Amino acid sequence: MKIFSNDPKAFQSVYDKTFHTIVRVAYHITLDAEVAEDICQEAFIRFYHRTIPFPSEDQARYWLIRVAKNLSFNYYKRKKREKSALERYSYEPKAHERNGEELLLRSETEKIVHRAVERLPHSLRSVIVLKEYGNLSYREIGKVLHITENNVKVRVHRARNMLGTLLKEEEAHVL
Amino acid sequence: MCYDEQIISAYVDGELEGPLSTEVKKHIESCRRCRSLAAEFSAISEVFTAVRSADSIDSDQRKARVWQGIRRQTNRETVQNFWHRRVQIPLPLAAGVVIAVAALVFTLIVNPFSSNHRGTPIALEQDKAMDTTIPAVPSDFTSPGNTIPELEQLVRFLSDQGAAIEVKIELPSSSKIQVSGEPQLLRAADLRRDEIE
Amino acid sequence: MRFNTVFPVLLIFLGLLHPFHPVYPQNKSEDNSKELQEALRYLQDKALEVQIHARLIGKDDENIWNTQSRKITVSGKSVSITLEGEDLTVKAHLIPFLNEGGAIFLVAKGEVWVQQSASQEKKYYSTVKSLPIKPGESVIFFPTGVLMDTEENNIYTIELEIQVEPLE
Repeated sequence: MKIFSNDPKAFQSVYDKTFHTIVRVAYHITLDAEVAEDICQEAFIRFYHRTIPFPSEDQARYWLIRVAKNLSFNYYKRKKREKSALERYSYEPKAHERNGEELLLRSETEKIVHRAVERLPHSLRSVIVLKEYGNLSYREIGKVLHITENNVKVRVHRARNMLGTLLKEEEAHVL
Repeated sequence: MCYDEQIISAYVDGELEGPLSTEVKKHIESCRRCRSLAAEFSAISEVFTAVRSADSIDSDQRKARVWQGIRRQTNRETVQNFWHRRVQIPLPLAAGVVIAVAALVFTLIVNPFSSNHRGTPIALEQDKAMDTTIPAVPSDFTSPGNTIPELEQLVRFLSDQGAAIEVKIELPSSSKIQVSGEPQLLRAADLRRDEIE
Repeated sequence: MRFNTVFPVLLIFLGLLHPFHPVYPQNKSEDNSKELQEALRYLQDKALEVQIHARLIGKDDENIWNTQSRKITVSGKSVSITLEGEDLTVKAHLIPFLNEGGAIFLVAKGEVWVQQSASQEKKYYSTVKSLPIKPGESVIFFPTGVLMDTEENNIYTIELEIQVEPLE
């Protein structure tokens, strides 16, 4: 069934099914809760404005995740250019919440994991972020990134190998 | 015989199909090397699981807040935008405006850079035989960043009385092109197929 | 052409208002070289580089064929791409407008002449789309529409990826 994004029912359904994925993906790429919210909003507004109907709800979801991922990486690259090398390795993820919500408490291990993921090559980082933070299957990741499932499998494996080394370097007690 | 590491990695993610998954599971139980590999991959995944369960980014309040933001934005946009409003222009008024614009255009096309032709509409020059020789660009004009070939290309096309710059491409033979729906002009970021490098 | 919104009407007015490209006088003597310099600098400020990647996209977004072209134009002057196929001709007219602030507005007009089969007559489609874009930002024009999901193989759609930047 085709999905028209300006149909309120369809929009709500896609929003309910996709928000949690894209806010996690956006947050774990940008490490900024406010920015993640803005990116979510932007992605859904672009979805609203899209005149081409989607062949299915799944296709709509994949499109949204792809847009959110791209917006997040764009933001991340822009920020990286602005930051100095020193700041890059001693950053604190901006976890401050609006409206007086609690500050997110981040363990040392989480920071180490974030740093390790940051050091992955872009093609592997995308896959790992979608898999481990977005909780997507290989098939879903393939649909979002327009690559085959086999390619996803290869990249996940390579990413894990690299992460194993990087995490050891970052002195995380993983094993 | 041991399975490829990629298979072990996919097994850890539950991505193998039933029969293969069962075989790999059996093998891992009896092979120390593969068991150790599976454990390593599993441990890395578990770190992310811990990170996922610790963060509160995916909260109901945040979901509601973003929803409100989307509604505010989309409600604002449903207010008629002046530039996209339907307009019916009465014919006499339209004619008057066209005449006024034409008069403005007439004064604008007096070329301030052409002292020899001051007051003469350039459009009327079309009848004269044009000297299409590109004059040598004065040497003091070329400064860093100005590439002569591009300036020549620019000046050359201005001599050309054609309406547009043409690019002709021949499609591969036996290509069946689907003509479906309305043509679209979209930002690539919304459609990006490959990852951004 | 139906004018049912202000915007196309305004575009036409803008097109009329856009000054004709100054043609440097014939037989320029050395005494006028300064005017030539000014003319060329004026043009260069308005010059835009248009990069076009034309692609044929198949099922599952497979890239069947592609070619690219780079053209230099000035604000308001069209770059027209003609794609000739066996039963189809597609013309895409890209008109970039550059404002003083450096922002670019791209107007894309698509024209399609297609004959689906020998027994059918040739059909003509035309549309105009527009978008404000940043210098160097990639936009994609689908002059024949976006490829819908189809079970058939060997059905393609045309995609033109366009980037516009001030000429430096």
